[in-house]
Amino acid sequence: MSNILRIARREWLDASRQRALTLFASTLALLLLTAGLVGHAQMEARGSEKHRLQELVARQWADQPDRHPHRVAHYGFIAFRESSPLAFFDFGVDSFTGNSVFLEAHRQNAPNFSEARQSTGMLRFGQLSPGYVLGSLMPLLIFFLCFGAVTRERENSTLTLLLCQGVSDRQLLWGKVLGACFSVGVIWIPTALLSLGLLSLSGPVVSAEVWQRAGVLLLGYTAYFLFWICFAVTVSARARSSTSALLVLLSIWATLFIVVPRALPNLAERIWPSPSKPEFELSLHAEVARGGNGHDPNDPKFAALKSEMMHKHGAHEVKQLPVNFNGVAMQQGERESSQIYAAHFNALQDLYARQNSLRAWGAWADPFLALNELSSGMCLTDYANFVAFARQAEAFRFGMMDRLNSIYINEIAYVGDKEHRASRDHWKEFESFRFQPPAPGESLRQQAGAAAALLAWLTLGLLAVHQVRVVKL
Amino acid sequence: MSTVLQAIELTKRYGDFLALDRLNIEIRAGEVYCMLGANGAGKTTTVNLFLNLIEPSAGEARIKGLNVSQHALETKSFLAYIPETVMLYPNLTGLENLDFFVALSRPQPAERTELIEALRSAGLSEEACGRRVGTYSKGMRQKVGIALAIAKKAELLLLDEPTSGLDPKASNEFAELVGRLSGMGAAVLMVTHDIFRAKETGTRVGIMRGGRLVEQLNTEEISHSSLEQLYLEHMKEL
Repeated sequence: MSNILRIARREWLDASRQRALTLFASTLALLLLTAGLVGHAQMEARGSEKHRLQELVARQWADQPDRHPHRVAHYGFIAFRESSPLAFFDFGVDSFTGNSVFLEAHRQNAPNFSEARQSTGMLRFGQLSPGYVLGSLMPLLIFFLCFGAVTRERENSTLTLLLCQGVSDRQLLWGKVLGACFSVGVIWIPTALLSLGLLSLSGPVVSAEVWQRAGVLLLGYTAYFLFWICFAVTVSARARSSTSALLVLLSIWATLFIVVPRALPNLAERIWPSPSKPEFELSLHAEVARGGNGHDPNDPKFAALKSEMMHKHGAHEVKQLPVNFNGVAMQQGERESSQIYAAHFNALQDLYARQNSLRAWGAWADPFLALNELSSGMCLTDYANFVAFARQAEAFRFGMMDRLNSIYINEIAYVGDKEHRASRDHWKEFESFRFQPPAPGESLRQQAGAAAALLAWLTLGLLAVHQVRVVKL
Repeated sequence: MSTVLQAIELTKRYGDFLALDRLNIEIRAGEVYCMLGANGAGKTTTVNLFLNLIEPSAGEARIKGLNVSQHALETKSFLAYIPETVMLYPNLTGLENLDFFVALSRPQPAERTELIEALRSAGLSEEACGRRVGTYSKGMRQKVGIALAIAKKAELLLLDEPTSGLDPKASNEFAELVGRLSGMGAAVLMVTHDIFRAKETGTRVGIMRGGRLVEQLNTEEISHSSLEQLYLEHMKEL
């Protein structure tokens, strides 16, 4: 057995015999167990509820009687965002973003029914997901475990005795790192196994894609813990006393885990201010109003279209057209308003993307942010996933409305328009909405910066342990 | 007898402060060299230089002919160090502590029986070996330090005021153990304030003052009282 292993073994033995540390670790393990089980149960319940509701909405849609297509367009459809089986591990922004959106004619509604809206303010005190506990509290355990790794040896005079046995600085520090890895592993490995176990219970077959994501998560969290262990041991090697090492580590924890994650969004909002919801909707609706009104085929904005069609078909009156011009105007109005909605939505998303870029850069200054980005990306609970849902829902809405307008144009007679009905068989031909989250490769591409930052942090930590010289006296 | 420890013009400065000034000593196998002096005389600095805990400003510290600065790890395989209080891991038993430190110092781990034998030779009961060190007295901790030297088969013992704070019986037992080890061929450098113990245990005595070795003599050639008088005379000049 090498000296590194011997020191690691002793470190582990010592840590396991420290009551306060064991108590803290047990509490953390209990928190993780609770977070994992409760989170998974909630996700399962919410997932099956969404699935049931999506089926109900699709059934209600298909069961509509013979109806005027535009009435069907206003009857609407609800698109639900199905959560990833990994969402129980890291809630990300899921609790603050909407999970469903009402799709109807003329309007692009914002997704709603987020957890934050449905819950009490308690949610804002922090969400107890395994990812949150591991990301923010595990470093605290690592700090308590490692702050005295070297300083305590020096203060207790065991450092001299250790060095007198021919132990080099590197052997000592790597031994300390490995010893802390054992302690962290006692919590991390069962948590990872429990999470994988819970994952395997999510649905009849968990796809290979989900396992790939889980693999990246395991690597990401392991790298994250290893970095913090290296960092804490390095601080302990250079600190003059255990008290100063602990103070340094706790100050860093408070800065990187409390201050920076809260300050960055505020800073981003100051640099790139986003409009308030009423402000955004007011400007959007003003622009939509400037376009053609699909409900009014005599709107002067459709005059050119009308005369072009009449000229094309050699008609003198609108009712002589082979198609229903009311439907054509509706389709044109829908297309125009959709373009306006898309332009506003894209502009807003660009703004949010700029704001989020600050957080992405923050990953190079704060490993916690790097892990957060990677973790929520892999669990499909990040903002990019929400945007993907909003875009897919809008594309689905537009396709649905366009198709309904085509039925309107081709199957509803112009004369006596409102009195006509289209066959119920049409509604059954519409496919239900199914959200397609980004593939793991795509998520990883989106989180490449965070993954690279995490890797850089780990490299920095390993190099620090390799290079640092222990303060001996 | 071969030379085990050698200081050649060994000097240590901290800025303008000269902690050790051109020290020249040589300790051979089986010899117990007691270094006397007031606080700040440079005794512990000497030990720390041989332990390579600090780098010399000038000169050389050698163990078995090897420069300590250049052969830091190798020279440590020859020595055992016993400070004023041997600080061990309180959550481990005496045996676990010994096992740990011995394992670090040699390529092959020691057998349990060998370790228990070393602890017994150092005067610890078998019952004490299995107890956590947190419950040990200072004397018992010092004995673990001696057991470590025995198990490690150390050729050089660096002792930094090892009997300070021990009761006379424990102090006497400790001195006997050191005597036994030197009898087995170990060279000993013992830093102490205890003139009586230096005369009793040492074969040679050196008196340090202000970082300099001001007196060096064989203990056989001087009585307790003369040594005390000589020491006090040197201290008077401070």
